[in-house]
Amino acid sequence: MSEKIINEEKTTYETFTQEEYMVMKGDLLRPVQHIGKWGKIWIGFLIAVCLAGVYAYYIQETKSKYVTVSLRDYTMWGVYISNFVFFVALSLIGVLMSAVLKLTHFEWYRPLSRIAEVIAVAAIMLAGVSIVAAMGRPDRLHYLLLHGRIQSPIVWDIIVILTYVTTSIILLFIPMIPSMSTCKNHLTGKPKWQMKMYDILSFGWEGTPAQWKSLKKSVKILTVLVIPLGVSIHTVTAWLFATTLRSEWDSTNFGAYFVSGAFLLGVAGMIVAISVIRKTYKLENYLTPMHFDKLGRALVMMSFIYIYFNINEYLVPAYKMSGLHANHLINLFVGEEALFYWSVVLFGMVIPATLPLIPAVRKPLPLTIIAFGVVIAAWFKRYLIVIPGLAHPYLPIQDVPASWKHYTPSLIEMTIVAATFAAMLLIVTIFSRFFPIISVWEVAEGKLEGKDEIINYK
Amino acid sequence: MKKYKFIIGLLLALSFGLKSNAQEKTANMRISFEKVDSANTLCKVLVTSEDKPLAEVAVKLYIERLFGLLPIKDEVTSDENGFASFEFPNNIPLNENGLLNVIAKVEDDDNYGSFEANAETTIGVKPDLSFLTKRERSISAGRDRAPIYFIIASIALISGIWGTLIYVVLRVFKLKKLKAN
Amino acid sequence: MKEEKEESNRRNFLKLGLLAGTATIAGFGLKNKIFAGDIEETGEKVKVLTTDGRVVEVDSSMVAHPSEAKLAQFNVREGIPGKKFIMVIDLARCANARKCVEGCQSMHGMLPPIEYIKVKKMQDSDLGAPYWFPQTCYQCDNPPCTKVCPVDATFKRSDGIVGIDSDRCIGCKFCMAACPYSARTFNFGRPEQKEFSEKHNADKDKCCATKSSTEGTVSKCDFCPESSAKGILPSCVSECPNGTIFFGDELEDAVTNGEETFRLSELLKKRAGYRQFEELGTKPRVYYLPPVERNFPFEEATEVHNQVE
Repeated sequence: MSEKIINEEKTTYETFTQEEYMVMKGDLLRPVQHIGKWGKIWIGFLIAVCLAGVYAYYIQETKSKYVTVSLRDYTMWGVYISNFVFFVALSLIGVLMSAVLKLTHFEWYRPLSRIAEVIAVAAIMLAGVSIVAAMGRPDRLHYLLLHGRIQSPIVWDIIVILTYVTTSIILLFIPMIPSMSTCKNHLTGKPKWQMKMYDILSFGWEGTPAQWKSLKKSVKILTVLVIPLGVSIHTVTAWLFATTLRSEWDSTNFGAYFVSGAFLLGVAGMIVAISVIRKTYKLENYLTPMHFDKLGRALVMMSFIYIYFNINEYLVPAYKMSGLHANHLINLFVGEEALFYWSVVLFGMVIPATLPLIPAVRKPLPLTIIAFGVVIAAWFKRYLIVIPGLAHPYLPIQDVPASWKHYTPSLIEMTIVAATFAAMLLIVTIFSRFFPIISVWEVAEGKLEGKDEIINYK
Repeated sequence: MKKYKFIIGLLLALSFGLKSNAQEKTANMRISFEKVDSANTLCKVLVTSEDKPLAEVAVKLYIERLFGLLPIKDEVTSDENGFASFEFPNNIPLNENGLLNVIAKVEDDDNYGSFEANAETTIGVKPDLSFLTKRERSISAGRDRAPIYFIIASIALISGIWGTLIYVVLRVFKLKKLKAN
Repeated sequence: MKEEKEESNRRNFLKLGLLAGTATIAGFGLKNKIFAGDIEETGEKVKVLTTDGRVVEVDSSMVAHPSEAKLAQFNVREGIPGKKFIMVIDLARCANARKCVEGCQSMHGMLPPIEYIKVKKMQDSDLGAPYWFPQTCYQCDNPPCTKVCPVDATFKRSDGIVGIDSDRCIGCKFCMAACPYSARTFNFGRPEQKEFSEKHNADKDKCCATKSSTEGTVSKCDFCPESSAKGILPSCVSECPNGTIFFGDELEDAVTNGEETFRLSELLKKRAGYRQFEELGTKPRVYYLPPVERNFPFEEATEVHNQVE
């Protein structure tokens, strides 16, 4: 398959002239150069949602959590933790869409990589925010540094998350150095500080062959490094559950199951992201139906991998139906959560595994709809892993108030979750308004594939 | 009504008076240990009153523990020599001073009321307190007792990855030096 | 660490003795020998229950306990030296009187529905007979909760107790997820509880070195180590009208329910003592005696206790 794609690439792309390059640069810098009315409204809306979340958090922390949050002793991890798992999963998009494709020479990664990386950075930051929102004593956050125990999976998670976020930021910014130089030279009418920022971030970039060589080597090192990091961040997140003795989570399969789910979410998230970006920023020439076609195929493959792990995770215990699993599984399959569970299976696995097999479905619009369904289902999938998993402890829950038995997220919790989504979108939006969301030089270089030439993109 | 109460009170007072009268005689106990053979020990409680041995007195034997008295056996009645003999177990853990506090009790005896005696013995086993000094490194122990392999592995991983990151960042700062001039 | 020591210093034992009401002491004439040199008449009287059931008033210095000075010497995280607390619960005696629950709640200043000790109705199989199952924190010897704590806020002490440092806990609740027995509870700051804790500020935590009412932290049954060190039984033990719960020091090989004292090893042997979910490898320090030859017929609970949100 890869051979075919490379051949395709070589026949599809022609070399380009300096003139074409200037057009390309104009297209890709346009979102930075000009922010329209709707762009401002969108940013305003996201800021409003974020502020609502900040206010909700203020209420949560100043008033009694028994009132503001629906968490109780049995369901002590709620929607914040499932949201955290979702964001960690989403952050693997950077690994898959940038690093894996880059290293395996799938040339169509070029316009996608920066989008993927900025989503990864935003998602992992919001994963951190979600976990702080879940803490009982956020004022003691620094205790993790003062008293951290290396034996605790939470400490591992914090270490890998910090490492991953640093690596992702570096990996996002190093390929941007030539773009910074482009911004510096071609953007007009921008405030002084912004131009100063471009100047600093371009690190004296002149595009000499030595600089190119050094830059590409740095990128390569990071690209190799980020793959095991990405896999371990989500594996360690899975271990937060798998290192407990709860039968629903007590699975050797958990790390791989989480990582495969994250890859599926990554592909779906990418489809939604490029679909929105190409429409709003008019980048249809760069994010082409070809990308949707490729991503559609990737979606099918990732869905099947995820289905495979789900079978291992649910159907093998269900075959045995041991007393440890019975309550939980029956509850999911035919009980209270059945509708919820099977909807997630349908929209999150079955549909993306089958429908994109039809070429017509791999067109932008239908594929975006399917991918959007996958993203929503992926969020609920994490909810179904965390919350019903807590509702069936070994010893029965007896003689407790009704709210202790059934968890329904409170308004405060949902506002904060909504705010984390808004904040993630806000980070991506703001980023795309200050930096070209598609890497000018990487796309241009892709179009030169097959030539040994390095063009000095000024 | 008042009258009845008075009469009842009088009767009660009288009966208590009689009872205390009956208990005027005091008795004593002395606890001694007698080795039968290497494995068995007898604990003998000698019950006396005015230096005369008392027979037919029900004696109970206890060992003092943190939260209460551990009975050794059901009560034993003293013989004609005034001895109540108990087979004394040799596997009772000693207290922190390496002793056992043995308490003999007579409760509500018709003639002598309640009285008790105590003695200390070293018969017993020393509890194994090695766990106090030997605190192993483990996954469930505190941060200062993390397993060595855990510490080494994490330091190796963290320094390897962060070292690479720092190396890459330093390369970025060197880009300026690679200018054309 | 310094804070904690001060905390335990501040504990007023005398008040504790008075409020505990039914403390058990053992032949208090002998105390001079055990804690020689510590004894000073304090002038304060405490009510204590002797082994033969009399309540007497004695000087607080007479009671079987290490002195305040001696207690302050050990670290809250290290435990009471030379002790290994252990509990045995006789399922044949439990009639769901719930006095343990209430006693515990008043001892720790907790309002329902928060229970450090719970009584659950258990039925192991369809034809098996139902029984009442009192459940505390098992103070496991291989505790899954201390494994996962990121900040050393919960720890295994040498006296067998799994302690919580509520000044350290960051409220991540990972220990609660890790505990297969759901023994831990989180202080979400329930308004009624907060109000109650403020009102009864003076007499909360009558038995524990670590505070249990810090909002946003985890708490649980901790075998009341401060009073246990002084030879006072935890109130779940002393309050039970049926003598269901036995408590003691494993190193002394003795457990008592306040009235009867047994040799631990013999009791477990004779009554086939077992630990809940042995297969999980947590090594609980709470043993159960199977509900055979019961003292009471099983009666379904007719009252719902914790209905109020």
